[in-house]
Amino acid sequence: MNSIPNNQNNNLDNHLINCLDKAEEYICLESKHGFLPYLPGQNPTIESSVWGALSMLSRKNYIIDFFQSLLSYQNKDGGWSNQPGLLGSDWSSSIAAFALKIIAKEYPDFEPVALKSAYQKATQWLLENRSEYYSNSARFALLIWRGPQYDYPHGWPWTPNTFDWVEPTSYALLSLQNKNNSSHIEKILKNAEKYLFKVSCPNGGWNFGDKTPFGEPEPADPHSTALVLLSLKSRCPEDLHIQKSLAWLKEKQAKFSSIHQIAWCSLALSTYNYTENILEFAISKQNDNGSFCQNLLTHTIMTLSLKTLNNPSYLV
Amino acid sequence: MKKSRRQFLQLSAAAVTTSNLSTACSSNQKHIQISEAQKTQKPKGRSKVFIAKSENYQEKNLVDILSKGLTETGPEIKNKTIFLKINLVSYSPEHPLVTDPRFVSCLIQTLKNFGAKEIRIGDGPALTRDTDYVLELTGMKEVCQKHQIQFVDLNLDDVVERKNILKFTNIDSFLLPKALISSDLIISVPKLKTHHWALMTASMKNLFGALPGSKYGWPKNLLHVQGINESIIDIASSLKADYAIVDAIIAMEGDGPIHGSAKNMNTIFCGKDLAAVDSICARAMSLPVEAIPYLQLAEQVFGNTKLEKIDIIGEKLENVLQKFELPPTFGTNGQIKNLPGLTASMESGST
Repeated sequence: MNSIPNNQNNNLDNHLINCLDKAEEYICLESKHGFLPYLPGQNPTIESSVWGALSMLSRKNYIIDFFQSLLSYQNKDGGWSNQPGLLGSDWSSSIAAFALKIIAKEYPDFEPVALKSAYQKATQWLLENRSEYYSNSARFALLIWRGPQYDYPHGWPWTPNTFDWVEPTSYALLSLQNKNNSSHIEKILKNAEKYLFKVSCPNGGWNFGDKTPFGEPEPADPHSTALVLLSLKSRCPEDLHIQKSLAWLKEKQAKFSSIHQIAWCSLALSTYNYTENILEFAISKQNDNGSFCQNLLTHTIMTLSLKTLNNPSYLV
Repeated sequence: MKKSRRQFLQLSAAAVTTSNLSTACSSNQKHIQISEAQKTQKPKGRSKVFIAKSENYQEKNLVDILSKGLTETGPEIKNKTIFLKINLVSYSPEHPLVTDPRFVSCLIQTLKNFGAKEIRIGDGPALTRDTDYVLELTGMKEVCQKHQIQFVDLNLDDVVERKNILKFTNIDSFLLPKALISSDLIISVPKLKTHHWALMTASMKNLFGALPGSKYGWPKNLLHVQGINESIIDIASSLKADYAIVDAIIAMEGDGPIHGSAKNMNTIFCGKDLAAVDSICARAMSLPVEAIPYLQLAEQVFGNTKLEKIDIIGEKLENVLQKFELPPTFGTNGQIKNLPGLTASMESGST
C-alpha cells in the first residue's frame, strides 16, 4: 500500500500528478472512441462516458473522439438513451447536454456549429420532458385558469412521463444553467431549484427524492447530495441548507469507507473549496493499472475529485 | 348563487385535478381489464409448492431442506447455468431487509451438490447506487468469496430488449440484464415481507430488482406510475423465472419492506409456479389473498393461486400459519386506506 511521505508541496504535487496520469491512462485503456462502460468489457453508457470525458478535459484527442461518439448517439428527438440505441431518450440526456456545455466552454473553437445544434436539440428535449403531476385535461384546465406562463416547483424524471427525482433534476440544472438564458428558462430552473429544496432532508443533504418513501424518514446519501450541491453551486451557494449539507457531507466523509461515497463526497466538497486531502486515500486504492476500483463511473468521479482539489471551479 | 366565469373555471380545474390524482392511486382499487389473448398465456395444469420448517439458518439443516425441496418440486439443475435473483434492497442491522446471506450460502451449496455448472447471484437495488457497499455490509460479499461465485449488479449490467408479453402496463418492452437472460435457469430468492404499497413482497415482486436502474432510475419510478400490480405481472411474465425459493425463516411484518419488524416464521417455500408460491406465502401470513390484486391478476394470466389447483408438499399449510401485522397503509380487510398525504407518496412510489 502506497503512502505519502511527510514532504514539501513539490512532492505532494508530484504524487497528485502521478496518480492522475495513471488514472487517466486507465480511462484511455478502457474506453472505445471516447466512450466508457460501467464495468470493463461491457457496452458503453452515456453516464460513464460523460463523467469519463469530464475527467479527461485536458486531453483534446480524447474529447474529440468522445464528442463524435456522443453526436452519433443523439436520438432524433434530441435526447439520449443511457444505453445508446436501446429504447427511447431518458435521464442521461441531461448529462450528455452538460458534457456539450463543458466542451464548448473548454474548447470554444471546436465544432461550434455542430455542438450548438446538438445542445439546442437537447435543451428542447429537456424542456419538453419535465415531470408532470397533472394529466392532460388537468393541465388544460390550469392553462385556462392560470395562463400559459404558469409553472410550479417540479423537476425532471428518470424516464419520460414519470415523477421528478433529485438526480435527474440536478443533472438537468447542470446542463441548462447558462448566463444568457431566457426568462422562461430561468423560471423553469428556479422551480427546479424550489423542488430540490422541497425534498431536502431536514438534517442536511438529499436522498433520491422522497423524504418519507415508506412513511418513515429516509436518510440522505452522498451521491444525491453531491449532485445537488454541484447543480446549485452557481445559483445559491450561501443558502443555509446548502451550508448544512456541506457540513453533513464533511462529517460523513470522515466515516465512509466506500470508495463510491468518498469519491462523490470529495467531488462536491472540493468544488466548494473544502479541500479535504483525499490524495492519500486515492493512492491507497489505486491499482497498478491506474484504476481505483472496478466500477468505471466511480473511477472517473474519483479522478475528477482529485482534479478539483487544486481547482475548485474545474467543473462548475 | 350564480358563479362568475372565473369561479367556474377555478372549480372545474380543481375537479379535474382531484379526479386525476385519485385515478393515479394504487391499482388496489382499480378494475383491470383482461383480454382473452392475455388469458391464454397462463400455463395449464396444477402447481406444486413445497413447504418446510427450518428453525434456523444452520448449514447442514438448511442444505438438507433445500435439497428436498429441489428434489420434490425443482427443475433439472445438473449442468445448468443458474442465476439467483436475491433481494439486496438495502442494509439495516435492525430490520431483516434482504435475503439472508446464510440462506443464500446454503442454497449455493445445495445447487453445487446438484451439479450446477455455474451459479451467479445478483440484484439491482432500487434505492442505492452503491451496491458494492450494501453487498459488503449485508455479508453477501463474503458468501460470494466463500463459494467463488460472481455477484452481478443488475443495475449496471449490459442489457437486452425483451418484449412485454402481457402488457397490463403501457410499457412495450423491457431492458433486462444480459447476465440474467443468458442463464439457463433464473431462480427468484426473495425475503418474505409485508409491503407498504403492495401488501406483500415475495417471489414475483422480487423481480422488480431485475430491471436496471441505469435505464429506469433510482427508484424505478416507471413501474409505480404504471401500477405496481400490473408491473409485477408484466415483468414476471416477460422475465420467466423458472423457480422460486422464499426465505421466510426470519420474515418481516408490519411496515415492510423497509421499516417492518422481524417475524420468526421458520419456514421455506419453493415451487416452479411463482404465483402459486406467493399465494401460499400470503395464506401462511394470514393475508387475504383476494385483497392482493397482483395475485388476483396472476390467477387469470400467469399461474395458479387457488388452493384447489395447488398441491402442497412437505409441511401442511396450517402448521406454518401465522398472523402477520399489516402495514399501516392497509386496513384489516387488506384494502388500502385513504390516509392524508398517502396519495402523493403512492404516486411517487419507491420500491
